[in-house]
Amino acid sequence: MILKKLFPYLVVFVAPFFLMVLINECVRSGSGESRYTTQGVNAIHTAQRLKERCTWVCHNDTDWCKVHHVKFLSEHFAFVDQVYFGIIHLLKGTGAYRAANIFFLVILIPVLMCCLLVKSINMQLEINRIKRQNG
Amino acid sequence: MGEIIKLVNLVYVYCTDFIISLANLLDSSYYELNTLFFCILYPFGLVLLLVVFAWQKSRLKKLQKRTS
Repeated sequence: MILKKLFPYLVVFVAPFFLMVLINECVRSGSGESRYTTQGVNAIHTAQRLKERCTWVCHNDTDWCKVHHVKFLSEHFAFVDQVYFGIIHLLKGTGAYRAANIFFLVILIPVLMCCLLVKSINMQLEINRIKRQNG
Repeated sequence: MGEIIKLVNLVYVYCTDFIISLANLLDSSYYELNTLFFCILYPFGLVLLLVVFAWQKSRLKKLQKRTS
């Protein structure tokens, strides 16, 4: 019964993660280059400075990515940087940047969004049911 | 504790790899996709869903009052 109730929430929450695994594993199988290693973890992508595509260098050196890969936001750096680095500074301010990233951006906000979406859909179904009952 | 730190690093690296993979697949960039997800979609999506939730709740309450 509980599982039946939780099922829609689980589907909405898990679907993006499924897509993430699918894309990452497809990319991993086609990649034969040297991998970046950070804090004992082997990444899928390299850390070579490549002008034709993004690598871990874009994560470690935002200016490199902005100069060589950004296409659409070049004229809005002044504004976007404030928000972009504002979020990074907020997360770094917690003292555990990576854990804060996962807690807020991978768990808390997606769970909140998923609950709000499923609850809103359920309420619409209830509204439809009441309307049908009362002609 | 060490295992938790290891798991956090593993998930962080996997998620960062996803953004890099997606950026390359869409012929975009890591910076732009990060901006799209975390500076636009997350805040606006969350606010939009909160507004829709509140609106649906008030609609349902009004309807229940009218029918009871």
